[in-house]
Amino acid sequence: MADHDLINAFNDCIDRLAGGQTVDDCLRAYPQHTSALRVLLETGRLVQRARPSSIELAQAQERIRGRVLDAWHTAAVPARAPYPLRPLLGLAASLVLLFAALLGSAVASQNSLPGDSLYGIKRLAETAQMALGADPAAFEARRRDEIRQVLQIGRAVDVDFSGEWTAASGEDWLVGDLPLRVLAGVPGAETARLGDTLNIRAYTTTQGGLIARRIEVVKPGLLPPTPTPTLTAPPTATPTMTVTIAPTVTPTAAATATLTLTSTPTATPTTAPTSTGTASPTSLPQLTQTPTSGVCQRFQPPGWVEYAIQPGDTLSRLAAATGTTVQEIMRINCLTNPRLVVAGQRVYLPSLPPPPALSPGETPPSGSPGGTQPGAPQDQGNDNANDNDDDDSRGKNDNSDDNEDDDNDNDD
Amino acid sequence: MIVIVLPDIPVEDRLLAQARQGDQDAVMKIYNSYFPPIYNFIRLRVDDPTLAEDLTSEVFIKLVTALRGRSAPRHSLRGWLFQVARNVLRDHFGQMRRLSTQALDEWLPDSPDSDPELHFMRTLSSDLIRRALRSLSPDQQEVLILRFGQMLSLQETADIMGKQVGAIKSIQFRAVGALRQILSQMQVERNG
Repeated sequence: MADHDLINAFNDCIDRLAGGQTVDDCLRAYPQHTSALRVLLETGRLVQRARPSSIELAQAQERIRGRVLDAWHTAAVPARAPYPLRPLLGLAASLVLLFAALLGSAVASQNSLPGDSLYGIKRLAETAQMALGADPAAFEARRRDEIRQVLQIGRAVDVDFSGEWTAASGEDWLVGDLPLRVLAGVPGAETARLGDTLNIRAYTTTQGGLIARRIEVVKPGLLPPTPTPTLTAPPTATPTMTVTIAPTVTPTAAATATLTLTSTPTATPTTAPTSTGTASPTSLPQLTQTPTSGVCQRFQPPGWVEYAIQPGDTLSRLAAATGTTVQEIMRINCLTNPRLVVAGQRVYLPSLPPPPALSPGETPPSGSPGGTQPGAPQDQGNDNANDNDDDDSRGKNDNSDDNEDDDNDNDD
Repeated sequence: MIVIVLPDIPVEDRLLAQARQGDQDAVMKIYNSYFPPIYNFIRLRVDDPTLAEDLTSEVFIKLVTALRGRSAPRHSLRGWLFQVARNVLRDHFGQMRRLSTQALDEWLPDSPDSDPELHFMRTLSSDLIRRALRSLSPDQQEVLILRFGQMLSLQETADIMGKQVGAIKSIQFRAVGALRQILSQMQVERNG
């Protein structure tokens, strides 16, 4: 038998709280319902306090991630076979082609390179073998070897390969131990992260360059990129090839040859540069975590922790609470727009901050991270003033889509 | 100067489109954005964190499956996800017999001095609050979680729940009253 007035006032107060106002703000708006509203609102706010700790949340999020990714891959449409074969041919046709390849030109095609007339048959035969269960990894390595040979003989041709992205310096990436040039605007470049396994479509130049056309992330890297800037290429046991423009150079297959990128002249002390004949002086590039141009890499500085943004958080509060600056948080986390930070988004911070938006004097819930920051004074006043700015994105005005019945539409 | 924006702004439409085209990074961005609210929602409805994980993973597995099969939503992803979460909960609990609306008397303030009450509420552990919350009917729990926990608008909550806004207003009012009564009862039992 509560009157409609109270029910509506209560509802309005819930919206006000969501918009960043305090309980007191609300009580001032409805003086005739002060005592009832106060208890109702405080009870309702308990729901906020009942939510799990951000540590529990983060752990659950990581544990579930793999399952979701597996389901994503399992539900995928079959991947397209590499150039030039498409699965339109099907398994049966592949088998027929396999036999034909065995009978004749397969042997002849074994040593062919991209650009050779028999190269297509070589790839056909490989696809047939994979259809029968051969491990693609061996063929992926063969792709990269072919590219090395093509580069060395100075042929200009389209190529495709896959490999792990292990290092970067500006526009020069190292993918599958191949030096790849990734210019601005290459599709897929911005989605790749250091450590990912990538599918690359590229072309070679007569000058020995390998230029990316298109990048696709096949498999994300397992670990976040290491934060410490490294001065060396990947461990010296990795075989590398010298790629120079001097025609007199013979390829060295030594286990620890020098990796040279003719476009980056910065010198490092780790290995002696090789210069052959008239080739320009070459040396190891200095590899840094955040390339001067190209993709920003989010990384975790030593001692920093990951924190899930809570509703009510602002970067200025987080910076103040953890002893850093907003600029630093943005730099570390590759944030470009401080206004566009999403509740639930994870950022690296120097330490775990106290929970947001507590009224002065109210103790944090026992489940909060750390649990050792009772009643930490919050800049609640300032935060609330700002939180009103985004009422329109909290649902007050996003009713444009809420009434659409398009949950089940199947058109593209 | 710096504002916080909840998910479900138009940027999400573009992410959805990219995900439908097979962009795994877009899928992961969606997952990172929406895992917390969905997990928090489910976690308040079930008392076992492992179960909450399983049910939450079901929601996102349904999402990625729908994205591959092109039946995923193009807008209002948040609402879609909450609806799927509700369905997953329903499936888990089986056919929930609707609790009588309301075994508990409607609560009205009986004294102007509610400070001891507020003090009591401040000392409640999240565990206790969750337990009290789960004594409510599923609809009441979910309205409270969406309105107070997720701070969704009245209209969006109504859409997710499949009800009219007037019904949501009623439910939230009665739910909070019922919650307060349950907590009072717990206080009596604790002190008695």
